[in-house]
Amino acid sequence: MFAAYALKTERISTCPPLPEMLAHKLNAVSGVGRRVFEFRIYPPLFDALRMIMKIEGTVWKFGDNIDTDVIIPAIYLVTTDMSELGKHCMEGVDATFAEKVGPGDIIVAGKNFGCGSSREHAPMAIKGAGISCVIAEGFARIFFRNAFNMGLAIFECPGVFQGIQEGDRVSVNQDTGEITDHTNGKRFLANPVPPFMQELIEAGGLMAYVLNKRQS
Amino acid sequence: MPQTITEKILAAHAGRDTVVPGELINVRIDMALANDITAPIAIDLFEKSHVESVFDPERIALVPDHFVPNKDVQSAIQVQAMRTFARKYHIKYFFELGEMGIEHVLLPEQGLVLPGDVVIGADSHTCTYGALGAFATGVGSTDIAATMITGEVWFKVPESIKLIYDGQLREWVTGKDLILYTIGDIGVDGATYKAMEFTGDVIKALPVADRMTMANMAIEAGAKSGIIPPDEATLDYIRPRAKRPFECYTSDPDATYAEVRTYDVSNIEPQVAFPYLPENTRGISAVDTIPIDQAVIGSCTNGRIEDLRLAARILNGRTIDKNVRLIIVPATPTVYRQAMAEGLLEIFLAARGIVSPPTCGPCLGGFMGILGPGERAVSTTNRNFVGRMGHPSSEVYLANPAVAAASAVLGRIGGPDELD
Repeated sequence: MFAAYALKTERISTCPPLPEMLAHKLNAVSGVGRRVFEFRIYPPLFDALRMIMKIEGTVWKFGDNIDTDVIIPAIYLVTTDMSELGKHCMEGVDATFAEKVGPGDIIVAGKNFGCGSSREHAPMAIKGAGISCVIAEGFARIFFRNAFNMGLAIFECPGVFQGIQEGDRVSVNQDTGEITDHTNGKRFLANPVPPFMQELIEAGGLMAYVLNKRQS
Repeated sequence: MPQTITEKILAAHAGRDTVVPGELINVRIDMALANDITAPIAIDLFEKSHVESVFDPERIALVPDHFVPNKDVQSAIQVQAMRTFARKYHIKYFFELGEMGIEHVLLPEQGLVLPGDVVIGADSHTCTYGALGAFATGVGSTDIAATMITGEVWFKVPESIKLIYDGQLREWVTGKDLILYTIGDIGVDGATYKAMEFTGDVIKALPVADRMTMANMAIEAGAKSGIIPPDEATLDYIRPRAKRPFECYTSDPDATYAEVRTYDVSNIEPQVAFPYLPENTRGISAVDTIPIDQAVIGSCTNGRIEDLRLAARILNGRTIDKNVRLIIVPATPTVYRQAMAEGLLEIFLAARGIVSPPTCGPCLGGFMGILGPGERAVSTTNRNFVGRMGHPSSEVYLANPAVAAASAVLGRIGGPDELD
């Protein structure tokens, strides 16, 4: 389930056409542009893609109660362009964060991550900055919902804040929810994704889920 | 099975007799709301879905209030997108400048959110409508886009926390102080995922405006919703406004709560929430000398006529400190005109304040009163996060309108009792 989530949160724009029988048919929500589209993957490619899109990156740490105003200050809410929002990601706590962060890097945070406003620009800015996932002790409700709806990978994992340090190299096994800190060797297990959220992920996000149901 | 008001409303909208906390349900919604920040994303997703019509053009409200009057070209473009969408899909409740007000004051005032409703809004303070006995909660833009297609939304049925307020309110203590005190007690994540149900003799005697202030800030404790069972005061407010039938629900006496807390309000004085979290509250007597540069009176939390009357009581015949800028924001055109009719605007201007058109602008550091480096504001708004009202080194102290007005006169944070 974790794997399926990762697949669908990445951008896959080209895939050779396949006979229906051989194809896994998936819907996906793309990254930039948020276009809902459909793509197909050869079964053997599934594992290969999972390898490519394994979440692994350098950790940037933030504390408790990181609110949406510091994730993306309101003056930048005059655009819906994800990469533009990404340029100002976390600007409220670290003005140079967007310049420092590398593609695939990971945010580790304390409790109540994403509290405050309902602005979906917050998960968009994080994704736009190139962050592969957010691992936190806990998430604020609307941020949690938004992240699933728009396709930012997030993992709730008590104990992670104490156990992982800034700059550590961390990977996430999306099949099992296992989080490994390769710098200090510690391992953690993320809370499982609630079943209905898994259905949303399988469909490729809320819009794809709603449109699929409408067609069926 | 005994149920809370929240469970009863959700069950009714899910076509069920009962629901249980933790259950995932699909509910019919009575009103879906978005503003000029959140609507553009929803509109974009809706258009890309190639669905030809919205589920009901009379159950969608589009309120351009955050950066309006348009603060720059980009915000003008966002409002244009709303306007175009509203015309194309015949959205009945698109509020153009002149009718537009701060959404969470405007919708109740216009009778568009009613007791027993399920309301979602792509704005976290949508929980305000719980004050009228509705289930109302903030969601994101994608949720609004999906609901514009289906007329439904999925929820996990929340557990409820019962908050009972007893005792005698002290002078200058308002709904704002009760909710700040409560957030200070339970913390900014003290009610995460839960419904906060406000009850007790104090709530029953509390004016509807104060109730809305309380429900408005339920999100600042992480709650999914805040709710107050409707009573005569609710109905007095609703009856002249309601544009459709509604139903009143109340909690069964033996309903199950995750937690019950009782507060003796006799011990609560006016509260001030220090930077950078709404939970950093102190009683006004415990506030040291904190000079301020700006005072803001307005917002979805405290921009109603009752709030302006309270501020005017303090400012009448006084002028503010020469080092302070006072910005007053009537939340809707109706509030503005009423304040004008009652002579409140004259009092504000004579005190050397300014009166802004309705907008969310200053509350979220959008425009109309942004703070510079190191500046401090006392504000009747709802959030005091880092950089909320401007530069990351600026500071926001949350308070009620009487404290904000008194502080503007004193030039430092202080209560009405400290005035001559």
